[in-house]
Amino acid sequence: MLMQFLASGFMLGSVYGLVALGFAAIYKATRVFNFAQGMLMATGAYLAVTGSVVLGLPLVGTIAFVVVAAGTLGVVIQWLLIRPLAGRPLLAMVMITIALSIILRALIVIIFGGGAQTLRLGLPEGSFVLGSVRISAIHATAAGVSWLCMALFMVFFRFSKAGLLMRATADSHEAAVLSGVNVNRINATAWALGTILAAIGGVFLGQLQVASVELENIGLLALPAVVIGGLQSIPGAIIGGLLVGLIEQLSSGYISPKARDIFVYVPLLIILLVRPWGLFGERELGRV
Amino acid sequence: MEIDALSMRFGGLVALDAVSFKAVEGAVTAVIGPNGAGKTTLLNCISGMYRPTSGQVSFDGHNVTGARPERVARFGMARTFQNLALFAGLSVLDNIKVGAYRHGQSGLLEGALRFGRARREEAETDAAAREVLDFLELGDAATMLPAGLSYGQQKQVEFGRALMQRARLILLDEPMAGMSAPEKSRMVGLIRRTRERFGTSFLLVEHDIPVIMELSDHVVVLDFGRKIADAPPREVQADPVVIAAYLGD
Amino acid sequence: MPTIRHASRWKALLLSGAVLCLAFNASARAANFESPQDGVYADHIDWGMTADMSGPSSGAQNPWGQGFQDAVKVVNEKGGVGGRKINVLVEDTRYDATAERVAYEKFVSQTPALGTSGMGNSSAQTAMVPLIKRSKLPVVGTYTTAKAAVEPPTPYFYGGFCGFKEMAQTGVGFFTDHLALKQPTVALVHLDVASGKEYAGYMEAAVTARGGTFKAIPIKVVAADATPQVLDILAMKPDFVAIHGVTTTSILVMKAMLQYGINAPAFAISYLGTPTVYDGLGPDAGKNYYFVSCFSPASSDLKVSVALSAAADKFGHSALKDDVNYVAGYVIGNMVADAIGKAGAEPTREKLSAMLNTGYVANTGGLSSELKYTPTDHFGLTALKPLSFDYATKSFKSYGEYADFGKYLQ
Repeated sequence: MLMQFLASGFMLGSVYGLVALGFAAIYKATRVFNFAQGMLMATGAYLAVTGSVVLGLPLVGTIAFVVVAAGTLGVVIQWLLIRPLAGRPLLAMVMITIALSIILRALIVIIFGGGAQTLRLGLPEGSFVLGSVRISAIHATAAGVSWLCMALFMVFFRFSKAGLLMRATADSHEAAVLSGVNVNRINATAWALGTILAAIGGVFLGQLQVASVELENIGLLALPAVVIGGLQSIPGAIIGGLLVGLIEQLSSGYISPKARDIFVYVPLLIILLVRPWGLFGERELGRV
Repeated sequence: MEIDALSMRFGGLVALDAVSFKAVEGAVTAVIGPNGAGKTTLLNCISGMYRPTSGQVSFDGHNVTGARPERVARFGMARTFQNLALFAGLSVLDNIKVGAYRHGQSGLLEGALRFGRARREEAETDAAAREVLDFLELGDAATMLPAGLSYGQQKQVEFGRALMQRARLILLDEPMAGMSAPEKSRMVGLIRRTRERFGTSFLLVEHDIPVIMELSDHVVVLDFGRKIADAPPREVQADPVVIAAYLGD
Repeated sequence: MPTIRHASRWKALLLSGAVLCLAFNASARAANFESPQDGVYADHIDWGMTADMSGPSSGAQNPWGQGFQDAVKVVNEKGGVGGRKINVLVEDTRYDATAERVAYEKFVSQTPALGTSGMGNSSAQTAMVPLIKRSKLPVVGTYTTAKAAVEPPTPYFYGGFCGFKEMAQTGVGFFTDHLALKQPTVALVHLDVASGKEYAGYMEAAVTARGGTFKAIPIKVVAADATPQVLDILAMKPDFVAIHGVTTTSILVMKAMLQYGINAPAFAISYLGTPTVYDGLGPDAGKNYYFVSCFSPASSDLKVSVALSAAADKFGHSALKDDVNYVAGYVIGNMVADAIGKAGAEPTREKLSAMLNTGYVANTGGLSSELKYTPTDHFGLTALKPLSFDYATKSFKSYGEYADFGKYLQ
């Protein structure tokens, strides 16, 4: 029983980690606390519906479509909403992201209707037994792809040119501007990547159940995940996601489904009180 | 580089008043003047941080007046800052590499996917950055964070980032500020060696008169936004108008 | 836009209008009855309809609203009721009790309607019982029926959907007999909301009445996974499973049951017997999925659904005709037209409600079980039948007639 909970918690947590990583990428680069991350995830599920059902693309085509469309969406969001507001108070940015999520939700309801949409991408279904643990193929695929995406992101962030510029911009927006880095382009890249990661998470959650705007509420679990892991820490976001997945399974399994909220948000409060930079974040020293 | 009748007004305040001069290729041109004379404003207008009210900045035959900083940089102009503008969370090597990417040929997306050209560029950049570190005699510090270095060394890292841009003109904003005497002489040596080795031109704003006299080929003196002298160091030193500006009132 | 300054002129205009109306009414009453305060005019009748057309439960309620409107459109094309067209005033209440109340008050006096339908929000219904008694605007044919509104019957309130108690009794009765069980062991996965707990109570009563063992397992409305619930089911080894929830609940539970090799059949509440759920499940997980309903999807009985299919095709809702929610809306739309007709040539709210209360049986053409109201029963629909989906023929299949399952109801 425990092993089963740990396994399913790990697999779900991997998807949460992916969405949380997208959140952290956006936060690190642009300092925007993106409340629309949950809706961007739901949008990913609907992009997959568009690709597979509406356009009739095969699996690979659908994935390519989701990645390109989500990346474009991220760039457009940065260009239309975030860039003009650069330097405004935090509250304005937060309101913008909340408005963005409401607009996305309304657009989805207008285009697809309020009902759930079936999303079947032809990924392997069924299940297999590993030791004493029963694993569904689709959960395993979701976890595998999530880890692959997270690894790709880490390599990109650590070793590529754009990754270096993103790290530089995240480190000091001012110094990046002063040393001639085109910060707008870097920020657009961060939004594109953050949106793509959220969308991939949405594709899998939509596949595990259905594509619906209510997926937003699952996607918003990325927020406690990121805060617990550390807003400034990329590995922290992933580990935060895993923790949320494990907490969810164990508390629902051993206590009650409602207990999940307590066990996710109480640690969030404790972290905010005693270690606001998160488990893996670095204490931010006073910067002038 | 040629500055022609450059003016900059902030509301009613005239920070630069029709300043014109020439920075000759391969030379070290210094801009001096009392506090508030408009030196940093001049650098900001040249490097694209400010858009001048009127006048023209031309560089290498191109009119770069009012162009955005990253565009000006692409023409081959780099700058360092009065206050350090280093990335505290990035290693010294990465700090220097940031300079290289302003004029990278491959796009961001291509870089992300690490296709052939991007990968080759990646390797070249790494090699070039290590070369610059060796040139700065900071080879051992590659993996350190800037905070682990002395102030003078941090200034050198910033200088190294400008070098990575393969700039033909480097604007230095008070490169000697806050440095000890040995650090200053290291910096002077560095500027000289750079000029010899790469033929780089320099435009520096500095307070330290002995350093200016030692280093520069040409001195421009500003006072209240106006140019009051424009001559080789020896002549400037003897100019009564300059002496009055520095000592008078 | 009249400003304050013009207010007195408007008042005068209204007054003279009212005088004119009175005079006109007196002379032409019988031939051309009008009662604007009841929403009844010479050529049309205003009728209210509230539903969650774009909110959290719009996935189910939107089809209901479409079915309702399609039925009324057909009635109007055939000339309406007694020479009057039915003009449906739609309010999107987004599953919000306050919006429900505002819409109801609007239909009472602002744009008066003869009656209103829908109101698919049981907490709004419960809270609005005193308002409905006071305002006397009939609510005819609700999507979901709150216990508090019909036990005891609220005057002017008439239900229009299958009841939770009947769902529980029919499902438990059918599966116990179908699987030839003596004392069934039953697990229920239900939402941890008021209606879910109410349903759990009915399920427990139905199972214990047959000497069986019962366990209620809660799940959240927004769940990403049903592993903990299904491991609970696995430990209990039930003979069959019951599901209360939303589309996602059914899909998560059935897929996880497949994953853990639980082969027990499951039956869901009426609302979840939709093509979307079966589509999302696919044949492997969907073959064990049943539901109980008092409405018949079009493909489950092609003979009785001819008119419904024609209407759905005509108004661009072909994809909805196998959705029990659409069928329910269609049945209620027709019932409203029929009831207005039976309220006489000069319908008013009072006459309509009095007619329904004294004993009314709707002709639903076999699309639902018997729909009738009596002075002691304002619920409307009682009998249900179990159904499932045949993936091979892509059609719904029912396991008998409504009448066959009346024996399970108490």
